Amino acid sequence: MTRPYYNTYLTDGTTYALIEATLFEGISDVNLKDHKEKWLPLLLGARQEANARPAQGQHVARVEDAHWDWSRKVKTYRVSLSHRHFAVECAADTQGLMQLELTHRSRIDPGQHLIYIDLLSVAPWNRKKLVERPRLIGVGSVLFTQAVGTSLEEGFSGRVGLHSLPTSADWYRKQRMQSFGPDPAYPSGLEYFEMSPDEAEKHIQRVSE
Amino acid sequence: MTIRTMTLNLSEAEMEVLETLSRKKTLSKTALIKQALRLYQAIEMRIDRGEKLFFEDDKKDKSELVLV
Repeated sequence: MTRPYYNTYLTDGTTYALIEATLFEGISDVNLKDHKEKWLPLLLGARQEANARPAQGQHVARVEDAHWDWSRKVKTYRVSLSHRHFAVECAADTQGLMQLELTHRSRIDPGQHLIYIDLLSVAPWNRKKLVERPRLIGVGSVLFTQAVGTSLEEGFSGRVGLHSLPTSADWYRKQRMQSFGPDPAYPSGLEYFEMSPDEAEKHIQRVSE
Repeated sequence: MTIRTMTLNLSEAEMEVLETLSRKKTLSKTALIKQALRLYQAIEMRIDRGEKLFFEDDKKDKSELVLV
């Protein structure tokens, strides 16, 4: 099946040159294979290394998503109208994956709908916290901007919400999302963030410049 | 994504509910119906898995929604 796609740009982590990339709607079997065969060994290796050296336990936090079973998630929700999936591909590799949920409600504007970012992962070789020099910069931004765009497209005024893993919380703060603090209703009390329609509009303006 | 178009025939009462909910949710009628379809499918999928749907009030009293 042909997936809808959009052309986008990432930054080469070495030369800082812009590189053409493709953002696909839908996560293909090839994306899942990339995750299983290319991402997971690196993520699990980093986690194992951290566990073996508790003094450097902070590295565990850098692979907080290693247990996410993308294959199961995608197969479970492939027919669900409440979920949308996206994948970023560049240089013959899957560079990022995202699962959105469309039936959540806003805390900033109670009763209104928003796009909830359920899962967002970037390939381990693109993570500043895992490698000295990321291969590509901007994968997370491309996916996050797509979430805001999906919210506008669905009529949700750009509202986006998510529970952030601890190491990503600062990044979401930089996107000017409002923090509602640790959510006691969520496993591990992850911090809940939400982007208002005003901030969504500003975000789209910033990335369009 | 292929977009398909259909004509929806609604009674006056149904249209009034659609318009009221559209205003309340600040969604277009199309967006509202798409959202309703998502929720309906999500509930059906969970019921089909043998799960139950409950509502809870401020006093934590739960009532099961019986779906027909």
